[in-house]
Amino acid sequence: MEAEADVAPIDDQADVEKVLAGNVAAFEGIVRRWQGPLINLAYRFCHDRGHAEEMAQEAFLRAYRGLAQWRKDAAFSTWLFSLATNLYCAELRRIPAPSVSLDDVPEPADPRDSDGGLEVEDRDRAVRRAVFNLPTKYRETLILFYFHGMDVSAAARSLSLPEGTIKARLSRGREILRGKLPSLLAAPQLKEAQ
Amino acid sequence: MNRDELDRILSAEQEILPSSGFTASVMAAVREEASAPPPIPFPWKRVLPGLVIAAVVLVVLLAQAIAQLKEGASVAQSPWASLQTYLPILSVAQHFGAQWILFALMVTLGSLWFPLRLAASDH
Repeated sequence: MEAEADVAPIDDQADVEKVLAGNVAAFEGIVRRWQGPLINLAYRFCHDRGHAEEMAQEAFLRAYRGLAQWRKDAAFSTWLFSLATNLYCAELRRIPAPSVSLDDVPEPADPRDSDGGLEVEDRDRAVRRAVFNLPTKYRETLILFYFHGMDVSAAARSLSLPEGTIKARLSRGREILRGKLPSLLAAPQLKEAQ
Repeated sequence: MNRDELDRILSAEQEILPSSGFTASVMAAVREEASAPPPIPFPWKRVLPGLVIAAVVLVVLLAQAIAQLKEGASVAQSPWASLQTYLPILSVAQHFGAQWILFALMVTLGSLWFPLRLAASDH
């Protein structure tokens, strides 16, 4: 998803100034522009539509409360995504995703069969689901990296981390995923878990 | 599974559209937030005199205790005599119920420490 592609920064700045001057209704412009990206980002964190909207609403509320803290040295979208990411990560840590633990998935009897067991769509879903079972720091990094259209610097800004750390976490996260996927793809109970 | 394939799968995440009432719901919450009275600031002006008095009393008590100890130390020669020096302080403390104050402090600290420890272990 190209989260920040179609939005003119000037619109955000104008609306922020109006809100800070006391025009609460001007915040609606910000909500309309950013609701899609913020809900979709939240959805990637929780895979639950209702919960994603609740988290996005809370992110907008926090943005409203902290609007004066946006320093304008970074784009409004960067500030907003960073705020939302912090909120979503905290929420994710508070309520772990209900999914099958990778350690609970049995090893396939014959590893050569592991790629042929599921349809492509099921396999893709299984891979995305597997991201939820990664340790939090890798999970957050992978979610942000792919959400920002595989842009390391955007993910780094959202997580307030150096790019080197993001690259290292991506590499390790992919490594863990690849290591675990053969057993995951062979597990029939995955369909039930979805 | 190679990296390109992994990238393809994870990039092609399903997109969802906001529900029709989402903007209205957010704006309602924002308006509620805007109309709420500002949080009550901590009443420093009222608390400050009490804090200053408490600090002065503490300093005076400490100064008196140190002076008494010094006086006692200069007179006392044996350990027994030194204990005799502390006895008046202890009896005065007992008179004011110091043992209960100490007990209450320990219970308070314990009741603070235990939930903090529990909360920390959850993370």
